Amino acid sequence: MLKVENLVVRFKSRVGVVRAVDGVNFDVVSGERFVFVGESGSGKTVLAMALVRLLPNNATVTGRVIFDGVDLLKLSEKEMRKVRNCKIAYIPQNQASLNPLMKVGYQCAEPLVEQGLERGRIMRKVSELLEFFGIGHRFKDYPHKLSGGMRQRALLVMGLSREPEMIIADEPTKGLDAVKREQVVEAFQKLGRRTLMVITHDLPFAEKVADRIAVMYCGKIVEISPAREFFDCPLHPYSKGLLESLPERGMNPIKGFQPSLVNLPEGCRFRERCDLSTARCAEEPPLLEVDGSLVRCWLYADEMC
Amino acid sequence: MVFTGGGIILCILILSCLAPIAGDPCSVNMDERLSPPSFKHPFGTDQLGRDMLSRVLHGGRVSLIVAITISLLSMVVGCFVGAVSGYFGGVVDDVIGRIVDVFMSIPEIVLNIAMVGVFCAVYGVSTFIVIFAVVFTNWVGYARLMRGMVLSLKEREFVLCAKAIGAGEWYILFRHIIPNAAGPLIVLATLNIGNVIMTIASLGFLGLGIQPPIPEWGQILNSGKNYITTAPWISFFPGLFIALSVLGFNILGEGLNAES
Amino acid sequence: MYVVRRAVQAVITLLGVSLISFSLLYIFPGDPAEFILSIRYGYEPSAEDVARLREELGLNRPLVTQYLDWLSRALRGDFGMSWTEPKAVMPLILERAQASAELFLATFLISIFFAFVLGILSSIYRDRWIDHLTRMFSMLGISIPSFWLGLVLIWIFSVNFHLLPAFGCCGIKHLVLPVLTWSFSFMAIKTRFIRASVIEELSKEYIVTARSKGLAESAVVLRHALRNALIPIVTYLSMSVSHLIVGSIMVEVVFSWEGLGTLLVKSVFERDFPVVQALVFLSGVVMISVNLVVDLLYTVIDPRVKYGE
Repeated sequence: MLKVENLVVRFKSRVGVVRAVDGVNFDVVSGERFVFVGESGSGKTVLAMALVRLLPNNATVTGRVIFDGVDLLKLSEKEMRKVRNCKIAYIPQNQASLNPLMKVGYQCAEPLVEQGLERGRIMRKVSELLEFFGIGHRFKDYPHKLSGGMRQRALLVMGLSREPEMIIADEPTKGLDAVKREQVVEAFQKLGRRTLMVITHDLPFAEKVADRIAVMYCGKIVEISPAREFFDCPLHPYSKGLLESLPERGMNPIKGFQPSLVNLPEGCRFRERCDLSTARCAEEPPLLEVDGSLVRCWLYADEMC
Repeated sequence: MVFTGGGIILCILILSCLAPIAGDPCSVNMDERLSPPSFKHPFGTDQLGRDMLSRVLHGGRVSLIVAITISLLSMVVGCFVGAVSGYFGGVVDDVIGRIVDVFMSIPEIVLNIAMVGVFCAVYGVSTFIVIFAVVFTNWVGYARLMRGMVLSLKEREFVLCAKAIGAGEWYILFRHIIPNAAGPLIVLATLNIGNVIMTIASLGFLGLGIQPPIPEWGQILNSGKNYITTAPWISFFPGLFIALSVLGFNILGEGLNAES
Repeated sequence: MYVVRRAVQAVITLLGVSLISFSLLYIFPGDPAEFILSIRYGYEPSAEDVARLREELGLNRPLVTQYLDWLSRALRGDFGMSWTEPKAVMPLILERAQASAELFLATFLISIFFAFVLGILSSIYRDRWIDHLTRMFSMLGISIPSFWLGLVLIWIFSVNFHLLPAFGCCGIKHLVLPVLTWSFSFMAIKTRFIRASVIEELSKEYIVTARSKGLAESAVVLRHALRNALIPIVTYLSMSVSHLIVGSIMVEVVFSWEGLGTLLVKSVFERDFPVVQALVFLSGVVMISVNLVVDLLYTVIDPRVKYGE
């Protein structure tokens, strides 16, 4: 359904060119729930925004984003608007993503108005959806009166109302406490078998939602695995580190910090924080296939030969 | 932008410093009255045959010196009031806040005109009155900025640290808070000097600013406006210099603001 | 609650303004009665005359009583008699107000319209030629003194081409030059502010949401960004009444427009201080009321205001 080939996003900044996303390849199958995980600053959000071309002007995007056989990066702005409106719903991060001066119901209805639907139908549809997610009584409220969880659900309604072929949700649990996070999980489970791509650094949330997991580190995908395998037995040392840093798995944070995206180390980008690094890691590892997973680490190279 | 703005200001500063070379701004020569720009008088002469180049350049000295003096005085007063207001808060802040409101509610120039008028009627005309009147309204901007800066700075860690080791309130205010507010203050001061040049020139144009025989741009324009049909150069050049110097400070201020 | 607190604040500010206006006349050393008479007659007044006027004006009473008396009359629009003309102050002011209002309205409407158009265009096409042009133009607008621009325009259009009248009042033709002069500087300040506010809003997260819905850029800017930007813009407009008043004084003087600005300057020169005092007080009243009305409008425009800060 969605196939991304060699996607590169560069930002011009004062300190130099930042390669926020650096040669990313993946595909999302129809009906699948594909989840990106990684620390903040690994380029997940930039990647998601690049797919729907919502990045600011100082970003340059190259590569191919093929959706239903069409390269989105080649569309005109007008055609792209149509894609955003009808086919791919991008759901932004929650804190300030609602217009403070517009009633929630109307904001959710706006994409449908854009589609040119008849007013009565729009109202019915939006109310139903708000009801479905338990915030029907909030139709005529302004966003500041909603809790973070409600806002996130309103954003979901906004995405769903236009019946898109695919939803891209960015950090849906960001800044929410445990109870509200549970509400959002529930909301996502209510979505049924819709094609979904979720960006998150919230691993427990990913575990509940994902079919497949992709791990991003410093702008590159280091592992793509089916969710079950990923949480049972992650392949990449970075994935292991991420899981071990969870409270219920020992709370061992990964040592060191992410390198600056302006001058990245040669070879494997994780090698300075990795316990298993060898001389070989000075060379860029390829994305290797191991038992139905993809992993970018030299550790698995020998098994291939 | 910093270079453009700074360059314009520097040019005007150098020209003002060179003013004495252009001759005496007050030497009257009735034989050459109202003569258009020429080699001898590049900016022409006025109704008394005085050389306009010399008058405009000397006017620049006056405008710049007075404007910078006013801006500095207002800065001292405003920063002090604003810092006290923000730092001590409570009733002090409320009272100062209301006073600032009052000053914000009377258009500056109206109060300036009224004050200059009343004071000159009582004490006779003097440049000091103009300076006093403008400082009287101009400090408010500095006070507002300083108050805001202090409010945000006083919650910062290094100030809390200083408090924790027992530093006195005034010590903290002057050693920690005011130096940290320097950046925005410089931006404001730059823009403010431009505004004050404009205010001084406006008062001068109304005949309520710095009085003859001291040459000042607004005042020269005022005398030139009666000769607009016969000798437009009298009004043209001082106005151009007002515009250029205000432009210089505005560009510099905006540039500094973008840098910080 | 918000409304009440805001109204109380406005009243306190008004008292402050009245105190300043009142002090203008009574703070200086010497006897106001003597001062008034010397202005009126142009020579040293006799002791009896001074005493009689003191009695008449109630100057023998304590200062506080005098202030309260002045304030209560000022609030009813009674600012006493002019010192130079045999008329009360208020009619003198009202006579001139209409001429000022004409100029004011024309300038305000024209400059706000163009400021919005240019500010919005400039923020949409940021860093493109139209933006650079607008910014250059508005930088010039805030730097060029209006009184000089006025003289230059007079020189071009009246002296050289005889197209438009330079001085005097009333009629569309007389309005053109003053309005043009005044709009140029007034528009410049507004354009800069509108551009900055819209750009500020365009960088917010809800704009990404709006774009992700597939809205056209014009809808994103007008329906989402501009509506939010209107809050700071309207505040700014209400504060900028003082810019308008400043402009009105300079422009009226340049074009000899018989309005309140020229009245102020004329009264200062003729030492007709009750008029000056009244104008200071009234300009304060106008600004306080405009700011108050705008703040109250927020309870309608901005849903967040009603419920606390």
